[in-house]
Amino acid sequence: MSHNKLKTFRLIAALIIGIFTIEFGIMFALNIFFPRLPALINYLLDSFLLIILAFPLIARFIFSSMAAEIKQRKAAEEELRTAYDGLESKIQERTKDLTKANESLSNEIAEHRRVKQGIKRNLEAQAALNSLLRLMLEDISLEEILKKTLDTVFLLPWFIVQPRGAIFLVEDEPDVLVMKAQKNLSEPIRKLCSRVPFGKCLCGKAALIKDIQFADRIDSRHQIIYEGISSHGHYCVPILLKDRVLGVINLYLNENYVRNKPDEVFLFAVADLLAGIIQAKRFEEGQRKAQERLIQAGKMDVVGRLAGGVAHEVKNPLAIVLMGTDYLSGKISATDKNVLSTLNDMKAAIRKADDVIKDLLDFSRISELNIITQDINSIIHSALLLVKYQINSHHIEVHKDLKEDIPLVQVDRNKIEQVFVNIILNSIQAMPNGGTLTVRTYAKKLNEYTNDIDPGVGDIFKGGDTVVVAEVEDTGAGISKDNLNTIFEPFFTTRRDKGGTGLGLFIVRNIVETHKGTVEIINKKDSPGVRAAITLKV
Amino acid sequence: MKKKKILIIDDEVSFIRLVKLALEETGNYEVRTENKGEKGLSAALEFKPDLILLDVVMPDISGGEVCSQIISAASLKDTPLIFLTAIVKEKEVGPGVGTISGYPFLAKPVSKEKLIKAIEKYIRK
Repeated sequence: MSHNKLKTFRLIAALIIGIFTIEFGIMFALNIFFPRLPALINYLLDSFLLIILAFPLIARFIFSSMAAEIKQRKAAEEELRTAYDGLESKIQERTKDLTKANESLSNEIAEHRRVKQGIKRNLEAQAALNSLLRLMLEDISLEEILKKTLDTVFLLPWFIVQPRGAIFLVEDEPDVLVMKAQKNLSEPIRKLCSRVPFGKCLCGKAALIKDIQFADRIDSRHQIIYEGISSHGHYCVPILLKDRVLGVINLYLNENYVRNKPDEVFLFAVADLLAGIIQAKRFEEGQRKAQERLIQAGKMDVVGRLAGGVAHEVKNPLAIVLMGTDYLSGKISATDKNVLSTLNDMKAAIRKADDVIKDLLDFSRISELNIITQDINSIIHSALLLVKYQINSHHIEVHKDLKEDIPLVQVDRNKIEQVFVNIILNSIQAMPNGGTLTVRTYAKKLNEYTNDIDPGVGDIFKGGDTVVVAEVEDTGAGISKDNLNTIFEPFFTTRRDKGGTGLGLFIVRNIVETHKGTVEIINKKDSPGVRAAITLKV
Repeated sequence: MKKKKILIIDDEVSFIRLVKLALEETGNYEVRTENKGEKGLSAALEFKPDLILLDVVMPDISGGEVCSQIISAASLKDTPLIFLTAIVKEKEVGPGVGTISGYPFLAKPVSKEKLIKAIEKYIRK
C-alpha cells in the first residue's frame, strides 16, 4: 500500500471513531433527558454523520478514481496519439513508397510501350528494306526500282512524310542531279528540278556536302521556288557509294515537322541500299553491254569473213547483168517504152545490190586501220563537204560548235570520216522537210567518281583519261523505243523502200569500236530529235 | 581510122562476151577475149593490143601475176593496162578510175559508158 493511501486510511479511521464517540455521547445524554427522541435522532444523526463522514471518503474515492481514469484516459489518448502519429508517418512513408513504385511502374510501362513501338517500327523498316532488296532481283529497270522505292517509303505508317518526293541520280553530266523518279510532284517542280546542279537548293546541297539536309519549312536554302508553291519541309538524303555521290532522295514533309533520329537512320539505310542497287544495276547494264559487244564482235567476224567472198561472187554476176542491160538498152527500139523502163528498173536494182555489196566491203575492211594523228574538227569538215549536196537539197541548216584547240586523236581518217558521213546522212534522212543539224566537239577528262565511265566500257576508258567527244544532233522525229535497241543491227533499216541497206550504223559502231571508242545514239531529252555521240580516246 | 585493139582477160565468160559486144558495136575497137589467166601473156604477145583489160581474181592465176608477166615482155611493157575487179569499191579508186601499183582499175559492176571513158583515157594514142 502506498504511503498516501495509508495516510488516508488512518484519517478515515480516526474520523469514524470520532464520529461514533460523539454520537455515543450525544445519544447517551439524549437518552437520559429525552427517552423517546433518541431513536429518531439517532437515525437522522447516523445518516447525517454517515453522509458527512462518508462524503470525503466517497468523494475522494470518486474523484480519485475519476482522476485516475482521466489520467489513464489521457495516457491512453497520448499513447493512442503517439501510435496514430506513428501509424500516419508509416502510412505517409508507405504511400510515398507506393507513389514512387507507381511512378516507376508507369515509367516502365511507358518505356515498354516505347520499346514495343520501336521494335514494331524496326520490323516495319526492316520489311520495307527487305522489299527494296527484293527489287534488286526483279528484272525491272533502275527507274522502276526508284519509283517503287518511293512507294515503299510512303506506305510506312509511322513515317510522317507527305506522299510526295523524287529520286535524283548523277548521270553522264558530272555534278548534276537528274530527276529519275518522282511521285505527286507539281508540274512546275518537275520541270524546274529536272536537272539540279550540285550546290543548288536543298538536294544540290545534300549532294555537295554529302550529308542529309533537313528543313521544316521553305527557307533561304530552298532556292527553287515558283509562285503559289505550298508550304512544306524536306528531308534530302544523299545516296553515297563510299565517297561518290550517286544521287539524292528528296521527301516532302509537313511544315513544322520535327527532325528526329529514327527517321534519319531509316533514310540513310534506304540510301545505302539504293547505292548498292544502283551499282548492281549499272554493273548489270555494263555486263549486258559487254555481252552485246561480244555478240557484236562475233557477228562482225562472221560478216567480215563473208563480206569479201560475197562481194566477189556477187559483183561479177552484177557486172555481167549491168553490161548486158547496157547492151540491150542500145538494141531496143526507143518506141517501146515498157522495154526501156524495164531495163532502167533492172539497172536501178543492180545499183542497189551493188550498194549493199559496197557496204559489206566497207565492213570487211574495218579492221584494216591506217592510224594517223588527226584533228577531229577537220574530219568533220570533210564529212560535211561530202554530204553538202544532201544538206542543201533537204534545206538543212548546219550549226557548228567545234571547240578550237581540241586534242588530236589517233584515227584512220577515212574510216572516221565514213562514220560521220553515215551518221549525218541518217540525220538528214530524219529531217525530210528541213531542220537543223548541230555538230559539236569538245574534250573532257573522265572522272571515275562521277558517272562518266560506263562500267561496261571499263576496259576501254579509265578514270583520268582525256577523251574527245563529237556529237551530231538533228531536229527530226527521233527513233522509236523499239528501234533504239536494233539500230546497230546489220541489215536493220526503216528505209528499205528508199534504198537503205541497213549497214550504215552497223559499220559506224564497228569502226568506232575498232578505234577503241564508243558510239551512243539516243533521243534528245529536252526536244525532239536524235543525238549521236562518238567518244574517242586522245 | 584504124580500130584500137583491146584484149580482155577475165574468167567470167559472159562478162567478156558482153564487153566485147559493147565495145565492138561502137565501131572503134577490135576486141579479143581470153578467159584463162594463164593464156593471157601469149594472147597479148600474139594480139599486140593497144590496151589490156585485166581481171584481178581468177581461179588459175591472179591478175597481178599476169600483169607482171606482161610487163616483163619487152614488146608489151608499155601497153596500157586497166584492172577490172569485183573486190574494190568505186569510192576506193576515186571518182573515176583509181590506181593500184601505178595501174588504173575499175570496180565491177561497171557501166558501158564508164568503161569506154576509162579506155579512152588510157589507150595508146
